Amino acid sequence: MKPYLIATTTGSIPDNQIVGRDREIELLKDLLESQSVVIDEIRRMGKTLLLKKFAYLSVQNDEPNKALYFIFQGTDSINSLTDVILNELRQKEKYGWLKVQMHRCSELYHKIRGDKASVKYQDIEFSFALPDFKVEWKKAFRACIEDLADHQLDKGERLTLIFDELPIMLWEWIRTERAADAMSFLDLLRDLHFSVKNSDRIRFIFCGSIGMQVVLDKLKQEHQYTGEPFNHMQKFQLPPMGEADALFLCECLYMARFQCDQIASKSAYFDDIIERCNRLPYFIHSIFHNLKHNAQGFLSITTINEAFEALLKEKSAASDVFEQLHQRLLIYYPQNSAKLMRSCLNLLSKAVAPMSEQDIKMALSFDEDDVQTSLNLLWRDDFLHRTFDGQDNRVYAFRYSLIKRWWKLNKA
Amino acid sequence: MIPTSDSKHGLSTFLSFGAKSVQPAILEKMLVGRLQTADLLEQYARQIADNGVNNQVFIIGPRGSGKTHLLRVLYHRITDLVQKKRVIVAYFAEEEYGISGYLDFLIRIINAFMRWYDNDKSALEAQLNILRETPESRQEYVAEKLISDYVGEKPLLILSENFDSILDALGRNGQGKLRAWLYRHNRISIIATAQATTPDLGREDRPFYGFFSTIKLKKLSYEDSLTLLTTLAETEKNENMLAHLAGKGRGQVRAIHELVKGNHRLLVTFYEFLKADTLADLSVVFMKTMNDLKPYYETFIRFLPAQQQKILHYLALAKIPRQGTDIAKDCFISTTSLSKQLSELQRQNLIDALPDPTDKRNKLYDVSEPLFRIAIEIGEQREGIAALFVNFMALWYSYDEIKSQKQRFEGFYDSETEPLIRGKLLWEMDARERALDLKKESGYRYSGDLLQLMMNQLESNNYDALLSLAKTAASSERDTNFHLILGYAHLTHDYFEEAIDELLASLKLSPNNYEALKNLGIVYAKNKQYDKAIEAYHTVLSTNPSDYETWYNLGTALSDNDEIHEAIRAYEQALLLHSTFPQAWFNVGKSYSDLQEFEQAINAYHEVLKLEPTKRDAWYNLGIAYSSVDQLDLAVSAYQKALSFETPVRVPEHQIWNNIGVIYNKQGKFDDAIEAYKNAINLNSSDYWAWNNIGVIYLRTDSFLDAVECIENAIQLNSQEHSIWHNLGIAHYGLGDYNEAIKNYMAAFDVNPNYAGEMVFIEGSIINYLRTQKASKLDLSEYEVWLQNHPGFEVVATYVNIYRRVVFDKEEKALYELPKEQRIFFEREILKRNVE
Repeated sequence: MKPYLIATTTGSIPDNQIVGRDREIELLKDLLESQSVVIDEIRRMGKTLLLKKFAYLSVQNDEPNKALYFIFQGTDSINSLTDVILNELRQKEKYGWLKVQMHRCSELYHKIRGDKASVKYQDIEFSFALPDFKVEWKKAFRACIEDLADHQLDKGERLTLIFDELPIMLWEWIRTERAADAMSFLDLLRDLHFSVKNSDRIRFIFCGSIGMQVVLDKLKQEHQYTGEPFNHMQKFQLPPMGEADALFLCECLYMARFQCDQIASKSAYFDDIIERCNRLPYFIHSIFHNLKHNAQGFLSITTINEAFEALLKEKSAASDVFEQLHQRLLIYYPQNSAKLMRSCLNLLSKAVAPMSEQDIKMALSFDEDDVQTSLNLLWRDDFLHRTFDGQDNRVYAFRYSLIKRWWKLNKA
Repeated sequence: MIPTSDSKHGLSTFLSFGAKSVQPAILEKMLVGRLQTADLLEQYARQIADNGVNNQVFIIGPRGSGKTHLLRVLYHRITDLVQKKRVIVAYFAEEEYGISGYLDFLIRIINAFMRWYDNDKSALEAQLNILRETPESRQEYVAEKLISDYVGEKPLLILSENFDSILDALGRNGQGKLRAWLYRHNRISIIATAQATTPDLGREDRPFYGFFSTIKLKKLSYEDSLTLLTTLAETEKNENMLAHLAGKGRGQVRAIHELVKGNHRLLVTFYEFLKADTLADLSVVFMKTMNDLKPYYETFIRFLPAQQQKILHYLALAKIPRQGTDIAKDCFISTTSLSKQLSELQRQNLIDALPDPTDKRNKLYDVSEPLFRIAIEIGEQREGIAALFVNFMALWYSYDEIKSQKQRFEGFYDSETEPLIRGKLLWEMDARERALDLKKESGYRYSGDLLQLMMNQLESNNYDALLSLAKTAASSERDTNFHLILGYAHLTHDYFEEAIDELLASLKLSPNNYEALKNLGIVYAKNKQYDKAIEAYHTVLSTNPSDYETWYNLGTALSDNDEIHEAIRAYEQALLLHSTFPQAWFNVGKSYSDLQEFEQAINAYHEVLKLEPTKRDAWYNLGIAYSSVDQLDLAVSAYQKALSFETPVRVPEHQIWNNIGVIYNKQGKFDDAIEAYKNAINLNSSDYWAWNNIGVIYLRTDSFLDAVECIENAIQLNSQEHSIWHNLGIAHYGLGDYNEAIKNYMAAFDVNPNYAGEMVFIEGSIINYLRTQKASKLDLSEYEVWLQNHPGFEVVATYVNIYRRVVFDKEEKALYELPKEQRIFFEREILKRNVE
């Protein structure tokens, strides 16, 4: 594929410009053949862009099994949920491939609202975010999903519904004393999963940055929630970009009026940048943005080194992204756990090689069981990478060397 | 869609610091220091139109740093894109008050369309009416749809000022909705400005976390300031001013530049200052300017929370930086809320936190801008603005400068006859007299002499007095040498972190300050930050490669960083430049010793001794080097030389005697060795090694009783040395006192469990003791307790346990807890039974 110009800034990127990730999309499709999927990944790792591209390509290539992307962030009430789906369907309907009859929705709407309004689905009045549906929101949401399942059954295709930023929506509900709503919604999702499973026409992808497990832990600890709404779903871990994708991303960014001190060095510079960024697209973007803003888009050994120095040592949007790792501990974990997790990270950031769990326990003056729990949480929350040595001992290291270096410079 | 034009005004409007309604050509001319950023933003906007990309950019700069100016320039530059409908722009005015939620934000976008696109106004108005009639629960969706329908497939670019306030007004929920919309719509870009970074972009749980690429506007440099003022004069066609700026006016520009801290807008305001031909005019212009600026500064604080307003007022009126505890007490704010408020004020660049030179645990807080202080004072001065001019002079001019100005006015006054002018001159003289009094009262020193006074205190090693002087320094006096002196003072008193801060501050003001860089290397080395020290030394040497002291310092830092070969090379460079540098030769010797290259070390020490024959450290190290290559007689004579001088020595004399004893011991000269160790003990009665070493000699000659006596003396002095306990064990074992020997070995093991060999001694001596059949039940119980608490001794612990039960408790069947082969061994070897 020929490189095309993309912006050095981060944030939202048009679907048709999202670089790479074809391999990950294929993996995702394979998983969806048999089950629904949960994606937990820290922020700015490229989850949303992956899912948007997945949905975009499924429609663009007119694949039999299409995907629809919904973003739940900012959905502040439980009876607005159905509208998030309906609003998006209205947008998609104009493309023709998704003309859903919405029989169940219409029936429910009639039943509750009587003759108060037209039920025509395209009609702007057709909304479940109305006071009448406050107690019937579950029925509305269920009707909407089942209508979609019926539609797929008619067409003999399967539809994947992507619910992005689902955990952050639930987290906000919990934070604003609506944990009961969050628990009801989780239960409903589990019920729906089983009710549409028989037809095998609907798959879900639940995605978010704070981690479904964090939300569930909070509900378990503080609200005695006992449900396991995701244990039937497959976890998908988003890896860094492949080498070819990362290099292609550099080529695309480079088109935004960059230049090298020696053109022959360009590929060496790209290799250096992607290696030092651990092939994480956000940081590749950040380095190019820095080069654009501080070095007038000029790539040389010096300017690249300066850009990395600034990335790791100065306050910027990108440094805030590193800072998230620290903040996550403070926001989502109790104070004592956060302190111990921080100690583990401090120690590992200074270690020259991965450390065995035993060595970490010896080096830290904490209860050994607590250290083990913390390491497990850090591994589960993707801070750390875990392997086993020759004696099957657990061995830990930072998942990304870039983050390790930042932690060492700024936190340890 | 034809954009509405409202840019009709010229330079006079610009001079009243409003970029909003100034002709584009003038705005372009005044882009000094911001041209590169403007070009970049234009590039971003064109990419949105030409390449189908989105750009999300957040520009941060304090008030008056040219943000409005930049967005105006950007808007004008992309007029062609807007007119051809290649980008739809929603340009928010600076004061977008009244946004209370997400719906308001969407309505602002529609309003912006109506404001900038005259032709579409009525159609949009009709759509808004529909929106007004829509049920509340659907309004956000309808508003989003209205915007989507209006822009169609075109990209939408939102240009917004004060976006931090908008995010704040949206709240977390509104921000969540906005972010979701940006992802759903897919072709919306935002180029926004703000005065400071906002937690809404920097916290992990906020929707716009990490979403924008940020551009921080830098303060103007002095050169930028001069260019900007020159451009203003050119635009005004003011030839006199241009000539002034090319000559003696440069000093004034520098003063103004410092005063306004590189702030664009204020610099333009102070342009009028330069027109003041005489000092008398200066006071008039100053007062007018400050009166004009008062409302501008008032907007800084008007919207701040009450506690932050209180802190700002307090710091402004305090005149010198204050500690947090003072602020909390005097403003009646609890210390817990104070720290939050102070950090918020720092985030908004309204106050600075300075290290407190008198107490490294504290910080001092001061308002960031000198003019801000004066503007706040305007409202507080009973005497009105005249008193502020006095304050301004006291703040800005040195004592000597004010004195000289006063003398000039006195001269004018004496020769002037016109009563009106005489009255005016009298006022100026009086103002300067009061400024001089104020300087004295508020602890200001004669500014020109400040550094000299600090140097005097430094030379008389009066650290506290120096810090007190520094604490009262005005911000204009904190120049590169001020920080250098302060840094050096901290360094000499081992406050390394503070010294580093000051030296870095010195270098920030003058990156080529050689002394600051050199001292920075030294302090980094002392603070064990060897990598940074080495880097600093290399920078010094790149400026002056013949600085042999720095080559030497580099050598010590490399050596401390375990880069011994590199260290030797650095010392050799120092010696090439200055061959009679004994300390460099000494360190070369030491480095070769570290590398175990003793022949080279010996040569280096001989070079030291040629230059300083009485240097005892060199003789001592030479002794060690000879000893290491088994030239023992030479080693002894070197040690004896080390003992024969009375010059200072780093190694205590008893240590030298100890080393001599070790050599005699090695040579088998036991009596001489004992004599040497006794000399060591006479010089230092707590020399436990000497006692131990005598004990070892007695062990070698099988004089176990004497050995026990000496080694017990050593243990009395230090019971935390593994080898001494071990030696005592050997002595007791030699006497056949197995029980004591076992306990000594156990004590040795407790001191250093990592010495695996000790386990063998413990196990062996226990088994041998059991074989003697003399162990008491009490002894065995004690061993059992100890062995059970020490993993790794399971086998011998079992033997002890079984021995006790069989021999003392007559529990014969306990033997059968041992596997057959062990039982046979146990019965035959330990219980001495006849076993088949």
